[in-house]
Amino acid sequence: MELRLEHASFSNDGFRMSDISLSIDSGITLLTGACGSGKTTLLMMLSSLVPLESGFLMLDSARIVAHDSRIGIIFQFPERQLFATTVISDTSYALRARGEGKKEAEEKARCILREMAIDENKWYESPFSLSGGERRRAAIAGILISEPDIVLMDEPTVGLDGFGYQCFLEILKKLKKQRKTVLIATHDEELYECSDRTIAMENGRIISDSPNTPWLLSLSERLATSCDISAIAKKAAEMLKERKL
Amino acid sequence: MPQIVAEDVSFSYGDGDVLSHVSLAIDHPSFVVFLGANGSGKSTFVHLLDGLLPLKRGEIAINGMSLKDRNALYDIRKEIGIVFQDPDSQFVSPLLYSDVAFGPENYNVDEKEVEKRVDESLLLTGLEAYKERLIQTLSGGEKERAQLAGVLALDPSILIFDEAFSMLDSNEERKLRSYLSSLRENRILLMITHDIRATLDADRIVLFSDGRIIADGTPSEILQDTEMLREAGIRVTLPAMIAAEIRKLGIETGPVVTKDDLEALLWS
Amino acid sequence: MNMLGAYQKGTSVLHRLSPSALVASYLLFLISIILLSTRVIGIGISLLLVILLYRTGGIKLKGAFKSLWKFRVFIVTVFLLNACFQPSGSPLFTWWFVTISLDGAMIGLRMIATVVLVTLLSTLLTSVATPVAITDGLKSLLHPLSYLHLKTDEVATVISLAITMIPVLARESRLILLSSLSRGAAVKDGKLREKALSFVPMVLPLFLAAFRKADELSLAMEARGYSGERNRTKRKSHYSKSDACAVMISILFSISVITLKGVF
Repeated sequence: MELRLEHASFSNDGFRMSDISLSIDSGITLLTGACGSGKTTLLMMLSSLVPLESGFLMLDSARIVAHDSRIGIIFQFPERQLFATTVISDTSYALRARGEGKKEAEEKARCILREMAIDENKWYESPFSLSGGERRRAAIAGILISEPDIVLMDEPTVGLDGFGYQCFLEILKKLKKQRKTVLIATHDEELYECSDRTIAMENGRIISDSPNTPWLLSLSERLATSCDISAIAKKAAEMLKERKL
Repeated sequence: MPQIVAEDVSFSYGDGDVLSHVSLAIDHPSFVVFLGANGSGKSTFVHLLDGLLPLKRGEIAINGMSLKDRNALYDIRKEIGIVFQDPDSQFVSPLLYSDVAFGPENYNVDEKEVEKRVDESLLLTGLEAYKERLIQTLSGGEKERAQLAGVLALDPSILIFDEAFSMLDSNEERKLRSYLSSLRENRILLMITHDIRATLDADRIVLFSDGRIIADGTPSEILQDTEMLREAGIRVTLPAMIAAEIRKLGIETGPVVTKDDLEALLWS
Repeated sequence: MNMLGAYQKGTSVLHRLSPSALVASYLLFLISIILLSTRVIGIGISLLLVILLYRTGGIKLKGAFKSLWKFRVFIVTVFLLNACFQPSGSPLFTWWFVTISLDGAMIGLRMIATVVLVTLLSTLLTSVATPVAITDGLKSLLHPLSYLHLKTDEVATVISLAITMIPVLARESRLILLSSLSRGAAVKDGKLREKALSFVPMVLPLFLAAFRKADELSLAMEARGYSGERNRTKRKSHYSKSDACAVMISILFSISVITLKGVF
């Protein structure tokens, strides 16, 4: 599904962005730029949660003026939004808030918590009894449970160690498979490998927008081999052995 | 001569040990990285070093002063400077110079000397032009440097960075690192992280896992054991994984962390 | 921090006063204005004083009235509360069970005038001195009390920290609000009970955010050697002639007011 901004302007905390036009569609797009370049503000503009000062936001070719639940947004440190008495009631909140019955909502919550690899024994415990990584996944579950077509993320990998990062990559893989439109504001260069397009920002303006050439792919091309780690390593080892001789 | 000596240190918040029989000695100026997953105990250990957590089991001595001596805490904290991860929770004053002055003022340093130290610290971190500025008007990287300035104003012999670079983008990180090289002389620099990309330029890596130290050596030794790193929950980069595969086929590669490292190995 | 006037840089006499002299004079003038508020002529004198002080500080009154406009609901409420519940005099106006008497209206008007003048004076203070300076001034003034074993330095530090934290918490609460909105919380329509309950997802995270920041900040302060027991550097205040003048003038003014009240 396509999300598009047309000549939009907005001010956030004294920082003003004007005449921004942008369109994102299925696949994973990265939004890069220094701190203060406007990434978070742009995400706010795309989220449909704030009124734009000028211009408009279009979802699937229809103009939207109020919050649309087809757009989901995961802010930085999502685990800070946890509030309910049990993990399952926190995760199911978004569904119950829009009128779904408790039973159905909790059933869906159980599904998604399982997908996020959160131990069943903890579902009826306080979300604050979860470990740091589990809390983040539970918070993300609480947002993805509404099955938004658009998923906006602000620095999702900050603070994640090896285990957490692997879990996050699994989530991304799933979203890609479901053909969701994902936009990730990040300074984590490793995410470049699993994304299709990069939009760069500077001082409140978009300065570049281009498809990604995964480094792994370019490496495999340069070594004239297939695009997977073992093939690349094999070719590289041969090359280095020859050089020694 | 800065010195950290820890013997058989254990710590628990209540439910089981977060740190278990940890012993470590750093006895000369060097750049040491404490590497470990979240919850591996590295941050807890560092908080114990500065007396921010009570030491009940084991011994720790900083520059010869024992942490068991409550009266020594005041002096120990002058020797250790910690730059934390979230810059927004560290500032005590809206104005930069007042914040940097906070440290020396806590030690009843003479007013003129405080002024001098504030100016020196701001110079050392490239913020001298921002002296009269409101801290909230600084960028993320500038705020981390402001924190560093506040810590340097006490002239500590041990500088600790507790995940301090994780919220910065690569440009700001590079800028901050350039200041680090001038700070290494005569100091112990401790970097706490879960990311191998932060181990650049380190002299020594100490690997934490589940409250214990499972490895302690040079970057060359530690970074090449990617299996061990992955099991300890460390983020191993793609180039490092490729290099590990190359080593499995019998070829020496040396430590490889970034794309540039791997490309340099293959094509230079 | 922009509830009252924001700091405006300047070189007037008021800008150059030392913080403690400024705060001391402010407090004395404040007390005088309140004492003068019982008579219409007193209010007139206070108004002249405020205008004079604004001229001295080089701050535009128009800007101050703008801040006042934000408080209009409060001001009207003060008037009504005073005017409606005074049990005296000839009724001017009756509606249902509410009676506004002439006396009541006069009292109400005097109240509003006092509130307005106090706000104008306070706005002037925050326009010529930064929050840090005002806190420093308060700290110096209260310092003698610490000899009575009252922890005035710590109170001043707490105020200073609170001021520092305001923009940080404001930013975080904005994100928490948006995040809650995106999950369907904080709704505008619906029954009162539903509306109230819909704010629950915001309340806990906000509290936690404040506690977390406070926790991290106290850790950082301890790590930088802060200790309630040890002595901290005392900033020597540099007093000048204008400081002495300012304080003298405000003392003379207050004394005159008190004396005149006694006479009249």
